[in-house]
Amino acid sequence: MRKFIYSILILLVAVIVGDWAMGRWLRHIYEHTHCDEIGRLNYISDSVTADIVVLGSSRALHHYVPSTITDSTGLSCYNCGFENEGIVFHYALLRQLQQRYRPRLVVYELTYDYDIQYLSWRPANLKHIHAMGELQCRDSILHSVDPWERVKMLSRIYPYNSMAFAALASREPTTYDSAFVDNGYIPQFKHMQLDPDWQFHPQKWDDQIDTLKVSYLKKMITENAGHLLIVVSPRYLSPEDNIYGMVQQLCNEHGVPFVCMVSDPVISRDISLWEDDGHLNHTGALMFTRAIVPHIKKVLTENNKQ
Amino acid sequence: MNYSSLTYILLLPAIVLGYYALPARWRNAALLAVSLALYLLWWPAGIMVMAWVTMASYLGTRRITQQVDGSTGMLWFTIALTALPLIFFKYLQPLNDTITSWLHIEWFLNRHRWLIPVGLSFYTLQAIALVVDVYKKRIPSASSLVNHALFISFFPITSSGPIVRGGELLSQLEDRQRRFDPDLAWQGIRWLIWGMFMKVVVADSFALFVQAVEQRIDTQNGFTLFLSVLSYTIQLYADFAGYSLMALGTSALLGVRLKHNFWHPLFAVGIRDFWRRWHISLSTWLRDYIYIPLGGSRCSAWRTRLNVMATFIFSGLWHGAGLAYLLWGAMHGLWVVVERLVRFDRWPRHWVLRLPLGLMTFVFVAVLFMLFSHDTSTALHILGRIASGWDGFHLTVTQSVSTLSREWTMVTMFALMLAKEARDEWCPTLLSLHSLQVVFYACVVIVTLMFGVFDRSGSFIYMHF
Repeated sequence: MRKFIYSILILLVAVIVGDWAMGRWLRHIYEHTHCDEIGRLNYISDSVTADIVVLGSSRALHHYVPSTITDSTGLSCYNCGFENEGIVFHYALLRQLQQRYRPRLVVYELTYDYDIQYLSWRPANLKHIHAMGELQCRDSILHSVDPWERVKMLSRIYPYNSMAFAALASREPTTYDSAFVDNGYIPQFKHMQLDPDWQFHPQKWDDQIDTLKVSYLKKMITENAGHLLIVVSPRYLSPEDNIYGMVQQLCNEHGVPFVCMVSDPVISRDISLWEDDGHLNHTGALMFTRAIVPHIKKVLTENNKQ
Repeated sequence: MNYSSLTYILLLPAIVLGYYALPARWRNAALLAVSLALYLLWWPAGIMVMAWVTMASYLGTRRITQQVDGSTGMLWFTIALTALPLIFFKYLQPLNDTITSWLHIEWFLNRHRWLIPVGLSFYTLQAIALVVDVYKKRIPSASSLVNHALFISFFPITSSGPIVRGGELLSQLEDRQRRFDPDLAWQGIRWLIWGMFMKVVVADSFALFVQAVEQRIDTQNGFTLFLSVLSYTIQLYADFAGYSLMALGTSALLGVRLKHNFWHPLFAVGIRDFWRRWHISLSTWLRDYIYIPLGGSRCSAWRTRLNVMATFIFSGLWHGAGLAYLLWGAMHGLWVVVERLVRFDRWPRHWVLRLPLGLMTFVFVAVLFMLFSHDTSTALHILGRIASGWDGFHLTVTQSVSTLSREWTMVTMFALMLAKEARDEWCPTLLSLHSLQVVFYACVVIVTLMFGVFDRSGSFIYMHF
């Protein structure tokens, strides 16, 4: 029995010491990563001071050209779009930014499946929120997604779970750091190719709503009214859709402008502007950015009046 | 409740401490209450089905014990009653769907979608084995309804086995003198840690890769699809073996010693060898309650082959009611028949031969496991693409730093699992010093925290069978 108790105690001590030591090391390599996704997140969290910031998933990352926005508005702009991330992450990222400074305008690219729809196979991705050590509301965000997160966060390793290889691999520049990157915007240069037997099937959205995502969308709208513009950029051959009615209503209630260009008659029908059916190529992104600039200017002008 | 969840990990010490704090005469009742409560958390309505199987097998075994003439009527009646929910939930509904779609008719059964209660396939086989063993006087029936109900609903094994026998579990539950065994408990903790590693780190990492590939099958080259097919088998193995180890570990903490359900099936050479290592509790169940009663190998060569085929087809149908499962069982049966014909067991086992034969076995098993995760037409489509669109040795899934790091995790963690299995298989005494073991399992916990998939960890695959 004594051997059993000693074994358990040694095991526990070894786990606690190992967790502490590995956690410190992981934190160190995470914070000193300057390339790829992690480096980009570190840069946004620590260094971005742009007047206009763009938030949203890959559709934000590849659709908004900051230099075009800056040329038209005279204000600095940074694209904080993040692949495969939804409203919970972007809310956390915005809060992290706002701890340092308050951007004059936040443009949020709304993606239905990331920001509204309930998807059992795609729960809120907390990976990058775990590592936002400076974020004051981190624990409450994590707790709202999963009450057990507070217990899990007792571990020093857990905030950097599954990031060790990514942080170690992010020593060399990747597409995130290439010469084409423009203030966070990553251009895509391919053209969509359709098979000869390709037929258009409009994306059918499930109307099952994720209450957690919607609650964060509401929070973002209510907390940033007056400084927020919500946009749905075009999708290839997307029909007019009434699925955004709820967002429109929410925005109206709080005086937040909502621009839905999902079925823009020019962009959404021109195949030469698309990389794939959800993402514009660089030519398409430039065209879309020019189309959205008047809306940005309008919000900025109204803000100035106030 | 998911056994890889934090809730379970935190609840387990409380259950174990509470169990040993109770007087011996109350322990089984308390364990039954915990088992039923945990089952209720999965699916409350399923408890009625479990109650049916429990009562049918309990009353049946009591009645069989009382009868003096040894007639088989009561035996078959009890087996039929016990198996009734399994037949209804697993086979009647798909059969009804097939027939009504053929005949283009609609009736009340079509309006209801019955979900298969969690673990029904497992605890029904367990109950049937008990009934047969009591009839054959291999073991006495349970001394009380509490013990019998606990045998059916024992929480570590309810959802996905192992399918334990009365002689293995019931006899231990009947033993009131069961005490805390420190050696067994330490073994249990090691099984729990390693089982968690297999599930959360290995299985779930491979699951992410398989999901990423299968989201867009048509855009992948043959090489990527081939790797995905192999990855699914590794995922299935790590998932199911991980669960089984956690079940063994939990039982060990409660002083109950159960047999291994897996013994390094990735090192199997030949399909017969594979089935001696994979889901051992099902293989031995099929051997003892299907193959041997059919005559086993003590009959003509053709009859033996027929018995093998029947046993494997039963195995396929146990996994699910559908052509794919039937085909899966038949193909395994056919291969075993071929191995018997060529006397594969007597071939030399030198490693030069062992390695390619082992790889062939793995690929054969992996290709057939596709029928578990896809319908037959999709599986054939994937096979067609593997055969026709190989297109070099490069991956066609999106390659970013995060996906690359995920693939690195997958490969390194699989290598770690394989290294431990190789050590257990060929040199179990290597690094077996107790202190080294403690450090090793502490490292496994650290590695699990570092690389485990915690946000997308799914339920155990075999829970769905």
